[in-house]
Amino acid sequence: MRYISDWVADWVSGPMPSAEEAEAVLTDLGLEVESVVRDTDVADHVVIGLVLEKAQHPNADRLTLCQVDIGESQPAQIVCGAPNHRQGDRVVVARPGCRLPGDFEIKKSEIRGAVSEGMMCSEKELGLGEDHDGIMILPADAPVGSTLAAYLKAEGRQVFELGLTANRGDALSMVGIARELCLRSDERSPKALIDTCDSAGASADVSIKLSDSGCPFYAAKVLRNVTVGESPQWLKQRLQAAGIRSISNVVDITNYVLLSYGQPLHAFDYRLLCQASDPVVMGVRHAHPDETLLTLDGVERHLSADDMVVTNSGQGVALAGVMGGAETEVSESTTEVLLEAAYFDPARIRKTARHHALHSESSHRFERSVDPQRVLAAMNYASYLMIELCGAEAASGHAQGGELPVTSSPIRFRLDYARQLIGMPFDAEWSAQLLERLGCIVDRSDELTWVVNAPSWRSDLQREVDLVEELVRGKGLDAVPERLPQAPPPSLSISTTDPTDALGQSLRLDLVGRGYFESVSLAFMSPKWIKRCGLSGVELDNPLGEETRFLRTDLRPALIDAVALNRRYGRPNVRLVEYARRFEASGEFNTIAWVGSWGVDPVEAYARCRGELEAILGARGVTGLRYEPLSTADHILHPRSAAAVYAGECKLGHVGELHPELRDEYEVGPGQWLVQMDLDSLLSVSSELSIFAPLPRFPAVHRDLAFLVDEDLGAGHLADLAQSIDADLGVQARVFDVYHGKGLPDGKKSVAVRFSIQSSEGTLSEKEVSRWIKRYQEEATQRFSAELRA
Amino acid sequence: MEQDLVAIESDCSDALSRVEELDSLNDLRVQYLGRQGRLTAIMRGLGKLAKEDRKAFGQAANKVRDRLNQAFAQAEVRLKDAALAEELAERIDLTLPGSDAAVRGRVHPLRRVESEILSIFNRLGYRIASGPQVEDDWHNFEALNMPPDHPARDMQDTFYTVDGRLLRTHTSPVQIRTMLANKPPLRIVVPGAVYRCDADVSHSPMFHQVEGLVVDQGITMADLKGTLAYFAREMFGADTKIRLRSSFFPFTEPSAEVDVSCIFCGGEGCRVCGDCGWIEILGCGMVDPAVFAAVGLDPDKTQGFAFGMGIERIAMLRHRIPDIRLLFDSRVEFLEQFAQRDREV
Repeated sequence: MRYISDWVADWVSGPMPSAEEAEAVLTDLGLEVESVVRDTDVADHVVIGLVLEKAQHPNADRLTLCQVDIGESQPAQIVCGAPNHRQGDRVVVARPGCRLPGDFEIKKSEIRGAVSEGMMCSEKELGLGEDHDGIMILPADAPVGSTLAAYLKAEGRQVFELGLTANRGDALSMVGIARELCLRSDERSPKALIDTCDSAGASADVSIKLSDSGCPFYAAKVLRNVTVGESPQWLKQRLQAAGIRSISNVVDITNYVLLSYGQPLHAFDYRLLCQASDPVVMGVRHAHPDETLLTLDGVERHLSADDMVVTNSGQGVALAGVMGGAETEVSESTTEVLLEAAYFDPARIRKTARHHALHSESSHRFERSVDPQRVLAAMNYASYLMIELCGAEAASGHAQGGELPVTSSPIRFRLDYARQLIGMPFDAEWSAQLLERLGCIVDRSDELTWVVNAPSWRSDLQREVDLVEELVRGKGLDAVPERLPQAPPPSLSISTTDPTDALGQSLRLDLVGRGYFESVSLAFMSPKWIKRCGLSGVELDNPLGEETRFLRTDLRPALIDAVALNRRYGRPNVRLVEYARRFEASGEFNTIAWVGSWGVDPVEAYARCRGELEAILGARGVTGLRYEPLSTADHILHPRSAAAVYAGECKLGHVGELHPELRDEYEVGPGQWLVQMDLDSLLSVSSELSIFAPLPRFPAVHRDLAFLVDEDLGAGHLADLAQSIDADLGVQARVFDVYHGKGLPDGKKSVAVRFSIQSSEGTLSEKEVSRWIKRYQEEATQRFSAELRA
Repeated sequence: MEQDLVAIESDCSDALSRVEELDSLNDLRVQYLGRQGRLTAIMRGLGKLAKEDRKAFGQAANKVRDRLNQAFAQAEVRLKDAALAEELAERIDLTLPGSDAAVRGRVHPLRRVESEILSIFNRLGYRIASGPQVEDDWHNFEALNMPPDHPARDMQDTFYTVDGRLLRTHTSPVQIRTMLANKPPLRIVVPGAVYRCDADVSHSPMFHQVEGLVVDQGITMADLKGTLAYFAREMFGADTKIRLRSSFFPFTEPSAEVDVSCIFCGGEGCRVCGDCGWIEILGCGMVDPAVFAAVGLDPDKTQGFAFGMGIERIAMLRHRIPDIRLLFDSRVEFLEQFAQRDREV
């Protein structure tokens, strides 16, 4: 909706605010000025001229040399290239110094040897329209020498684009904006509507028959002897300023009234209605299944049973409240018009507009509820304009059916409640006056509990709290004091705190500290990836594209994409971490995943990747991790290194090298390793509060031993075994070398383990160490057929 | 024997004066004073001497040993001093680069803004709450006073799932979930991803919000305004001012949009704020009685306020990021521009 200052001014008694004031007050009241379309019009700076003489330019075939009376003592000489003006025409002249749209400054100049003191302008050059076939020719009554703005009644016109909220259907009209502009001012008041009273039920031309509760009220009036043609300039310019294309005087008038009053109207060609059915019986009903209707925009609409159609003797002629039908459209040959004014159920219109993705000025207003008390006034205003501007004759009276709905009921209102909710007092006199300025009827017979009737155009005012908001709007939010809640913070825990989040946050910061860049990626996934990841995902009904049809079941694909993208930009080995949610059909899971390039030797890379994982988890008390080859294929990881990570029986996640197919497809280079951990599982095994244990007082003894074992035995088992030999001793064991090949029997490998053995009782003697080693060795031989090497 | 003693002392002193390394010093010590050393050998031969000579020679030998020990100690000090002096004189080439493996990660700018916001509200006693991102219509719309076919639903283009659920369009359903499961008083902040079908330079189909909710007896709009003023000062600097403008959200009444004085020009007017001196950063209001009714709280006895803001918008404003999509492609050239900034504002 646009605010057009001179149009709004028609509905205001008293002085209009300046542009800055209007912008500030509208925005503060919640009718946000989103942009200033234009401050002052070009029309203020161009004048109306009379072509006194038109001669050929001496040096140019296509130019003319004109003497133009612009209301000064001497006519101005103007060189012009347009083909359409004649001597005696009234034209629009931009004088030297004037700036036209596009920052085009008019200067006194010499064109091919002839002086030109200005320019005669086309609509387009003035930013008033699209026409640039020739210069604007005004009617003979245009006063020579006056500004175009004065002639168009548009002096000092300011146009703002307003961003209106969905509750303010009343502000979708100049009348409504005028009322808001008067709200805080003592010197301005809103003007009453123009309502040339008309009596109902006297029309023989049309009758009404309603059969859908979605249309509680419908009125129609027939106008004869209509001359369809162009609208007068002032009307065209106002619609133009409002962003609406001028079509013909009849259609322009319905749009003009729509913008003035907020009530949509529709004009049918009455003769075409008569041709289809005599007598004309206008009705509103549910659409039939399989019914179609050709709308004004030339689209064949397939209607659903929820849609409402306006009918003539049962035959659909308009999509009710949204758009008229093409078959009964007003055209140049129209001589008789049936004017429709109705009230439609907001929810029904909204459904239809959405269903057909057809959002018109009409549906926009009906959806937000129009003022029931303005329906007939709008019809009467439009017929008055048709009589004035199209030479129409109004048939006596109009037809109407149904009842206008009552949209407001009395509201109990306590000033004390307003004080309690807002935290400031409101003066009773001031408050009552404000509510009255809004159009409310205030009954203060009970001082403490008023009874307020909201005006018919404010269907959003239903409850006490809605009236409190009006007081706040009237006062301005600047007046509300600033305080902090005084009560101490409430209880420490609430059930909706995510227990895994603190762990997730701390892990992501740890990884950032270890050199990872933090990634935040869109949570969507392609069907291709869904298939590859093998989990059943959440599918969207209305995705933005095929690539984003699902929510992600896995964080790793986005990381792979990001590695590939960075590689294309010359950053081949980035490390990335993302902490986010995964979505499966069964629920949402907080997850952390990271990717890093750890070198081409998979054994070395595994050690580094796993070492980092263990460092991070170890710091949170998660130790003794177990790595098992993935039993079912994980199609993201390389089969040679894909592992599920366990802490006890709890599966924490996956670690492994990127699958070679993906490596090649995404061109991410070798050695990319991925880790993905489930936060719920991690939390379940991560440490509780730590309790102090006495520090070791005696030094550990170190021994390096090498064992010959079968090639397929996991070397790590030799280290793990050390834990189970003697619970009284503290033992750490770590594989530090694995040797295959020369000098070893076939099918065997040599595994070197470093033991560090410590007692809390005293320094271990050589004898005690040897006894432990012997026990270990026996156990290793028995379990793994390990042989101690020299 | 006497001469031997003299020779040993003079040989050893000689060698000590020439020794350059601590290792050689130790060798010398072994050579002269060790178990098999020359002085030790002589002293071992003491038994073969006549009784009267034994005492005199023994004393002489002990004196030599003491002097040599002292000389060794001095030599050791000299060598250690020299070694330290040498080490202190060393210089490495400080222009050589750090190794590639040098750690250089970065927190994502969105996460940083998010955690700054959360920490401000934590200081005011707010708890962090969260909820599902795949929601149902009731929690996301209906309970928030947006019945089906309410025009306010147009403000939020919704992604629906094939099984009839939806992706939450705001973090507000967590208000509903929290109020259903916990009794007032409540003071929560809700960070998280939200979704709307929209994609261009300033809209992403997934983006992030932080929502706040306070429910308690006697909570007023003045408390809301004071809270937001405190937040704005903590977040954007002590001189920051706020401006509330009337607005409309179905789940609050009265509702307001909140501007902060431009963080770049301080309100003078610049390109970022469109010359008006103010930047819109959040929406807020008093919890609508219909929302309390939906969660079974008595609207006549319960008051509260709620507010919500977009993280992307704040991050983009602060860092002057021109295109929202830059936030979501994990280009390290983008991420490494946003350094840690650890200071009180």
